[in-house]
Amino acid sequence: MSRRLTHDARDLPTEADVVVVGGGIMGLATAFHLARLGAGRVIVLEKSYLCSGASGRNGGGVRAQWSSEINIGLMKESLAICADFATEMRINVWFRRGGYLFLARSEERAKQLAASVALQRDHGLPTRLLDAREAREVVPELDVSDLVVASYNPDDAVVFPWPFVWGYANAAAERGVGIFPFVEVDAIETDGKRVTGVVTRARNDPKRTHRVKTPLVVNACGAWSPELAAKVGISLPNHPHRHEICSTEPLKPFLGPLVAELATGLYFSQSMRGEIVGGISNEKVPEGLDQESSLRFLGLYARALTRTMPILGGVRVLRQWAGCYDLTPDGNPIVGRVDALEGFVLLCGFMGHGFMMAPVMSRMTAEHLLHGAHDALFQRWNLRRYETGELLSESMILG
Amino acid sequence: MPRRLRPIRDPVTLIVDGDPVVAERGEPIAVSLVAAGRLVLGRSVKYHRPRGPVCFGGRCDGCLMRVDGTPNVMTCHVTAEDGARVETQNVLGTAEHDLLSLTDWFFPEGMDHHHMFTRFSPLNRVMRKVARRIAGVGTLPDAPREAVTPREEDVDVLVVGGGASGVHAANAAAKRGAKVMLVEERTLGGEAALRGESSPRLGPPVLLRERTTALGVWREVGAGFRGREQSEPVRWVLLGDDDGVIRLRARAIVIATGAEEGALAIPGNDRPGIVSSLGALRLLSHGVLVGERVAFVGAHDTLDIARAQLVAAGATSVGHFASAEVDAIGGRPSVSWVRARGAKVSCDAVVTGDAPSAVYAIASQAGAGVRFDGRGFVVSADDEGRTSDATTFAVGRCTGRAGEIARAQAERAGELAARPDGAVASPEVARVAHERAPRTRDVSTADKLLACRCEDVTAKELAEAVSRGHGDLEGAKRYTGFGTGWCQGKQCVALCARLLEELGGERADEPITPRPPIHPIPLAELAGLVDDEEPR
Repeated sequence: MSRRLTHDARDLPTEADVVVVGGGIMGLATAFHLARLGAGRVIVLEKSYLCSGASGRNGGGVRAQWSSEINIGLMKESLAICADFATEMRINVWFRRGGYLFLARSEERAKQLAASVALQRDHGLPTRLLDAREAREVVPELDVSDLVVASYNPDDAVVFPWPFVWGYANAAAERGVGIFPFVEVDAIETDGKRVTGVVTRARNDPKRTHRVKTPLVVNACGAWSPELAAKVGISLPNHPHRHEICSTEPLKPFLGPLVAELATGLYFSQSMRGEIVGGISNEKVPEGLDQESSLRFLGLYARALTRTMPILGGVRVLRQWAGCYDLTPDGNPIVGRVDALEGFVLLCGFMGHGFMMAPVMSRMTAEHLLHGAHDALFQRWNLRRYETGELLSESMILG
Repeated sequence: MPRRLRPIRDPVTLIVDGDPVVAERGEPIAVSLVAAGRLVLGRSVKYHRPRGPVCFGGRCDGCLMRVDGTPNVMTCHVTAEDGARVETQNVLGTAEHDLLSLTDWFFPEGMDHHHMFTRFSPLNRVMRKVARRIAGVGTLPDAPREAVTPREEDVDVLVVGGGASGVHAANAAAKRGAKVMLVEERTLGGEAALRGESSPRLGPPVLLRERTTALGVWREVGAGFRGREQSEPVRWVLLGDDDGVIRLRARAIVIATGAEEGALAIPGNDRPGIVSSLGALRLLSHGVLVGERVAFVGAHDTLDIARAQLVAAGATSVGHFASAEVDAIGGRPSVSWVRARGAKVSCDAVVTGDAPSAVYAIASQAGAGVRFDGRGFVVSADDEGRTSDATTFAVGRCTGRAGEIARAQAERAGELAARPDGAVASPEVARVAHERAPRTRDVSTADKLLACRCEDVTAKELAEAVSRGHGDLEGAKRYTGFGTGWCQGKQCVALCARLLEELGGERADEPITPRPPIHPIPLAELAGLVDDEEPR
């Protein structure tokens, strides 16, 4: 096996049918599906290394416990794709169905959980509401002293994120997609009405630019998507928000589910390697694109985690890191074509949950672009809603 | 076998896996165990290869054990007290005979776990279950731990590292009237004393913290603690000592962390009984000789010193070899031979010391640039200790300087750091173009060459990463997992960068991002960093 997964900027073509910008899971998976469906010459441009953005920095949770019908439906499908990913794509992603356990420590949160659980059950999920005793049966080390109620879906899962990126990259490359890391988009060219090409700049040759003619550009830049859209004068309502995460020393397996608390945004699970991986909300973060770690996060996370599971007090943090959520004002993604510029497609605003949405959203995006499928969803989640004011809602956002 | 050179002064009894082991009160437990002939203290995470201490100085994964109900304790860092309960982790059987070491035999060159058992779904499911069951090292602690309240300090200048350069810098800064703190992981001048060198005296106005470790540097905007809200960015340094953590603000930081001898790129390089030069000297300082028949491998000035001292203490040197002359090290479970210049030489210990690499993590987090020079890492600083960050200075061996030049550099950096207006940032790290190198290393060896000990990453696995298109340092780290284990890359990143190049990967220009914390910190010690009343 000596075929290269990625290509050097020197091999960039001068023409492509689709240019996907952003080499995260969303971009690579979409490129794979586009190529699979016969979209022609597809290339992916990534300004850093693969896994350098949120796809390489998230906690690997995949769940169907959501509070809106659309998300529940989509994520059920995403879970199914994830479950078979290893044998379909021939790369282990360490999919583990340990479930998600959501904790509510106030009446208000309990009500919210109960409503979501009812909706989830209506859509065929086996989610259950648990009292304190039942919650301790699932996680014996839990401090349940002020627990009002918990919700538990045993079918939710955690995965190891990086191999997803490589798996999609590999499958895309096998279908002829050119993947170019360390290549940035300098400009997007238009004729005023439609996209005509992109101008690129490579990290190892920053003085030269290169032009790729293309009628279609997919913006899958995650937290960087407003920057790319701004290059064609489109102002997106989504904005980056730093989210931190950390990992402890590896311990023998003891924790089944991913445990989460909507009130604080605390979540944690035990990875395949045995580490406790998790994060928490932190409102006080710098504006803009920032992937620095903070000491404050460690304090907030450690305090919340040791209260939820006191036995972890003596367990050590090995490393912390940060990535950027791509937040939208109404908690729902921004996808599909934009009215202002033909050939410019958005695939962003996934609220820090793009990783788990990518397996299903990438396929639907490719089918939508090539065959016009799934029109209702792409209308509902279109950028247009911020002009018409038909905003949506989602309450089960973590972190 | 290792032996004690003098009788035990104040004997205590440790309970090791249920057996009594006599030790000297106050010596590190790892030393007690090695002195009692226990070279194998645990098993590695993936292949269950035997693990023993390398450095006796808190930088390797070799001495991790469960002590008094706490998992993964560095036994080189806890002192022997009567009745201490010490347990081997991660074995099915005993440390010496671990049934799970079958995986080592089953995957002689290592494994590419990304692609194992991906053809057949039921088999994949079984593999995942088995993999989960055998993953991890250690089990949950016996008891919860209360949150520890951190202490707070403010200084003008923080000097990290108590070697000669650190002391010169601290003295120079204090002479200028600055409030200076010097932190040293072990004891002041400890390394110089081990090497038999005299070290400069620390001036009285310097606040000295021994057995204190710099755990990380964070730059934060808008996030204060306990009413210390800041509109300007704050740079926090977290220090750890035996009582917990200290949160410190320092206007300027001087890094004098030195350079570590590099690990050997030789198959079998992870066998217990292979210790670093400093490790051997540390053992000797506790009155323990690492072995009777010792092979010395590498080229490093500390190795020459270790050899002279060990021979003077009664060890026999079976040879001093350049690392290129040795093509294998073997013995089960601990080292019993090296194959050098085509011949097998029997020995009961190997002392190593190869090309030095800067201890760079704290420098990098503080804002200094770090570059790869083809053998190891160097913190980029000029002759006045200035780095690419105006309030971060780096001096001495971590910047590739020694002797009089280092002294002048340290003194000048101390003076500059003491100036309230700081200095002008100087050296930028030049980026090199990523190019693939010609492959010069053969990885089809009989035994594994461990590129990363903590995560059991072999040279063969690095080669696999290169062939699958992950030939850059960050990419290869993600594909193989090197540098993500217990030591967080302290032992392996320089070796991996070198191997990657020899395997046809890309030349690294800088290390993988050294994520905080630099040393593992218990959650209970972090939990006190925020107030109970403090909102999220």
